[in-house]
Amino acid sequence: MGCSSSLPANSTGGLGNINNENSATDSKNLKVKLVLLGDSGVGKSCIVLRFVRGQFDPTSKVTIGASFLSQTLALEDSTTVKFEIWDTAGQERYAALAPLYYRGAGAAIVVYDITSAESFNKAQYWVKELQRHGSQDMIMALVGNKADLHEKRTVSSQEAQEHADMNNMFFVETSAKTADNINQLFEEIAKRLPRPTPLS
Amino acid sequence: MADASAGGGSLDDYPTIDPTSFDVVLCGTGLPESILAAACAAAGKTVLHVDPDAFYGSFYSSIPLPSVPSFLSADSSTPCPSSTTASSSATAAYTAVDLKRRSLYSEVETSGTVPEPSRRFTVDLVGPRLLYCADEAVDLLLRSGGSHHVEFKSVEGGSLIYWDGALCPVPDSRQAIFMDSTHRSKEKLNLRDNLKEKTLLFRFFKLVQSHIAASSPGDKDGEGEASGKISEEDLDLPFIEFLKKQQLQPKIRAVVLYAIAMADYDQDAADSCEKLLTTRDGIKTLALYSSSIGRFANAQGAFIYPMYGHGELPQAFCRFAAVKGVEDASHSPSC
Repeated sequence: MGCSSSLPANSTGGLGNINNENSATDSKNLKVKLVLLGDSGVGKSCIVLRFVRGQFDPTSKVTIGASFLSQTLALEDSTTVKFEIWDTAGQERYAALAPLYYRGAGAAIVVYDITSAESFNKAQYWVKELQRHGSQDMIMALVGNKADLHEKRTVSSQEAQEHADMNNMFFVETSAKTADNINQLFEEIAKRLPRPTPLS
Repeated sequence: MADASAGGGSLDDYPTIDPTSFDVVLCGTGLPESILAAACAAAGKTVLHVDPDAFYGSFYSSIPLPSVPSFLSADSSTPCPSSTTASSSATAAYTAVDLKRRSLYSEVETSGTVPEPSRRFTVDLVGPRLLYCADEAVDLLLRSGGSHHVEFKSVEGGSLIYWDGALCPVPDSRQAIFMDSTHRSKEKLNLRDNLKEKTLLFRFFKLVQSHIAASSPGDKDGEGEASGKISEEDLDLPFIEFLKKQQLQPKIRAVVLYAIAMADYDQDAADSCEKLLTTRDGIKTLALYSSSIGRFANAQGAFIYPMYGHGELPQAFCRFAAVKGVEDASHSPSC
């Protein structure tokens, strides 16, 4: 996972985080690290909490108090995908995110707020950061959150779609508040994940 | 309140940090500062963690090879903006501390181009530091959950030692050491000497083992050699003298000193006597080494190394701290 391909096969994967956790994935049960990016206040944590716990808390503070949250999705083709979802823990507010954050991530969600053009500008910066630090085969999603506030919209979906297309991302508008498109977002990522080729 | 205008106009570029008071303010994101930040946060303190650099790790960072030249040239030209020196007398509640940054190096010269594939290499600024699997640092990573963040790699293929003008592999098990000494002896020694050498080696291992067993917690202090312990007198000897006293051959001595006990300085050099490893510490590292082997099923030897360099370690603690609510602030790159 996320390991340089030039290494011999038997040395990839390191120590599995030195606690002997068996992180091997087979073709039916995938496991992926997913990172969230985007300006503070766009609803990154809300998206995660909606997906993982089915909750929405408008007062939720910057952090979610855990290093990552896990959620498993079962797909129609009877594969399961276990997401290990990493939130920024507020580190994006005043500082750059550490390269460690992107390490080994198989998927990334760049979030902006459809009522804030500024957050869309920042999203473009985060896409660049992602391309700089992330692995090349990472699945990337551009997400316009707070779609329930469409009467205050300042970022058109067409503009966002174009930006997504340009950067080889898929685009969706969500609302963590109404749960609109939240599951669809993660399902779409799950479907797009590369399947390990079974050993012959 | 500190007068924020002292640094000149450039301060406008940085967002205001809210809240404005903290229990602890830490400057720099090197390993010690990052562990402190994580520890303070875990203890429920509010922490502001600042770093004048745009990257994590300060001197503990791992730089991708192509970025090393620019990193080196940038470092010399970033004087720390002078901090607020005024306004401290008005409120005696605090004093302004004038922070000075030391440069990482005194002189540096780079030439030529970086060999390919350069992206695959990083340079650890603090130099390579292997971690014993049983090291306290590894315990800390496991306890704090930092091990979720850092991927480690077992040091496979063993280490090499420069001996007799050539690099040779370090025998990494007792059997291998025996094999190695047998093999070498074939040419130079007759059978009797060979046997004697093996006996000495065997005795040394046994002595160390029984000493470790006797000194393990729960065991009352024994009375010197009688209980299998090495005498206090011997423990105070330089380790190299002790090894000589045990009549170990020079190559085995070198293996023990530099490949197992990881001595940093030449133990044979007379002029570095204050850097000499004592037998006490030497035996401790042998114990550490032996408890390191087999600690993790997927680590082959005694040593592990962070897969992407030591720079990951401070980042892991910074993240841990951030998850616990620490405010991170650095000169983030402008977009």
